[in-house]
Amino acid sequence: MAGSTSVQPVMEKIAEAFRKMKPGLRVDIEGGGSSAGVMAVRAKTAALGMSSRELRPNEPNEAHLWRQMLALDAIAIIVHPENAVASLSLAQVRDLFSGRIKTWKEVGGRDRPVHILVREEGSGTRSAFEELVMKDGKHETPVDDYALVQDSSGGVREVVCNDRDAIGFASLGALNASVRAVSVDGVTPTFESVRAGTYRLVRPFYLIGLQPPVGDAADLTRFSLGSEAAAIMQKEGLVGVFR
Amino acid sequence: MSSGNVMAADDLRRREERIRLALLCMAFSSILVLAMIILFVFREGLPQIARVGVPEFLGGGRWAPTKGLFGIFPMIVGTVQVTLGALVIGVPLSLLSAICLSEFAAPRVRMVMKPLIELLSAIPSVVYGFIGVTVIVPLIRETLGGSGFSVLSAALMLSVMILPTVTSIAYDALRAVPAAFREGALALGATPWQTVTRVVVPAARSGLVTAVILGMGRAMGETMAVIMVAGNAVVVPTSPLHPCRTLTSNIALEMAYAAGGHQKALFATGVVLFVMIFCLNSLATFIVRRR
Repeated sequence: MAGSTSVQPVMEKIAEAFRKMKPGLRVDIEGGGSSAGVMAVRAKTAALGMSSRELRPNEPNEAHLWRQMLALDAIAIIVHPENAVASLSLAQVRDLFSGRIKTWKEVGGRDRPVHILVREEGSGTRSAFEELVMKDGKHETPVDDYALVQDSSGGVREVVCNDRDAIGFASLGALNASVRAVSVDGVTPTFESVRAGTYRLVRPFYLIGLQPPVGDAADLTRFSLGSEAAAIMQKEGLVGVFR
Repeated sequence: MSSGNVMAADDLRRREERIRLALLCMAFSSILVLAMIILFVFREGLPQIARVGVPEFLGGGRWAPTKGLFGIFPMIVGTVQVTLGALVIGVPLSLLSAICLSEFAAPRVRMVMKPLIELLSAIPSVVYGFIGVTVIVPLIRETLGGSGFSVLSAALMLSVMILPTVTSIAYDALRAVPAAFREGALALGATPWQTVTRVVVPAARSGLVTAVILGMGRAMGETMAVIMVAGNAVVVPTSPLHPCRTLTSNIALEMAYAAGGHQKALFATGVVLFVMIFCLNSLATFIVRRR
C-alpha cells in the first residue's frame, strides 16, 4: 500500500490488527502523499492506494480508478488552550487565515496580533483546508503570505501550544491536550459531531485501486470497513464508514 | 644480473603506473558523481525554469505551485538576508577569536580553546534548530514582538553555526603568516596590537576572506535548522522580525508531496541555489589563487 501520510498511521494500525487474523501475511505501507498513492497504484507498485482527498475527475490519471471511502477526517482549527476565543464562524476562520482579521480583538479575544500557521504547499491537509475553508462557492481566498509554514501536523501543534496568539489547523486525530480546537459555526469537532454530519470541515479518506481489489487486498479492504477497524479509527479521531 | 635489475625496474615502473591510474580513477570518481548530480538537477530543473520563464521564476513574488505560481524571488531575498545577517553577527566574533587564539592566547589556552570551538561544528544542525525553537524564538517573540519565527532568529542561530568554520580557517591563515613578519614589526617598535592589525591581518587577508566566504556557503546551505526557526512564509521580509523562507528550506519543506511541475520547480530551486553557491566557491578559489 502507498499514499497519503494522513491515512498511513491509521492504516498501519488496521493492518497490524489484520495480521493478527492472518499470521504470516506481510503488509507494507508507505507514505508519499495522495498523488504518490495514485501513481503507485497506476505503476502497480502498490495493490492499494490511500488518498486523503477526492480523486480529480478531470485528471486522466485519476478518472477511472476504483475507490472505497474508508473514513471521514475532520480538520480542526486549533488555538492555544489559554486563548479566550472558543468559537468562530467559518467566515471568521477564513478572514483570520487570509489575514483580513489581524488581531484577536476583532473576534472577541485579546488585543494581540494573530500568528497564522499553515501546512506547506502540496500537503493533503493543506489542500483539504483550502477546499473546505478558504473556498467560498467558486471563489478561493488565498492564505495570508505572512502565514508561518510547518511541514507536519506535529510541527503546527507544537508552535500553537507554545504561542498564545497562534492559530493553525490539523486533523482531529493529530490533536492532543496541548492545543484547543475551536468550534466552527457553533459546532465543536468531535467524533459525534463528525458522524452526525454537523461539523462541516471534513474530508474523506479513500482506499483506491486500478480495479476492485482481489485476494489479500480484498480481505484487507473488507477488514478495514468492519467494526474492529472502525474502533481503531475512532481511537485515532476518525469516523469509519461502518455504522 | 644487470638485465635482471632492468627487468625489476621495468616491473616496478609498470606497477607505479598502475597505481597512478587507479588513484586517478578514484580522484575522478568524485568528479563523476558531481557531474551526474549537476546533470540530473539541471535536467529536471531547467525545463521548468524555461516553461515558467526566467524573469517570472527569478523575479516572481508569489509561490503557489499547486495553483501554477512559481516565483522564487522572496526566497532569493530570504536566503541573502539570512546569510548576510549571520555574517554580520558571526564574522566579527569568529575573526576576533581567531586573532586571539593565533596571536595572543598562551599555547595551553589555545590547546583547549581550538578543539572546543571546532566541537561546535560536530553538533548536528537539528540540535541547533531545536535550541533555536525553544530559546531564541520565544525570546524574540517576548522581547521584540512578532511570532519569533523570523530572519533575525535564523541569522542569530546561523551565526553560531558558522563560528567553527570561519574561526578555524581564519586561524590557519593567521598561523601561516611567517614569524619573521611579527618579529620584524615588533623589532621596529610596533605594539603587539599594531603588529596584528598592520602586519599579520593584512598579510593573511586572502585566507581571511576565504574563511568568510566558506562560512557564507555554510550559512546559505543550512536547511534543517533554518526550517525550524525562520517561519518559512514566502514573503520578501521588510523587517528582521518578519518570517522568511530560504531556497534550501523550500526544497526540504515541500519535497515530500510534490509531484509533476511542483517537483520540477523544486529542482529548479536547486539549480538557482547551485549557481549561487558555485559563484561563491569560485570567488573563494579565485581569491586564494591570487595570494
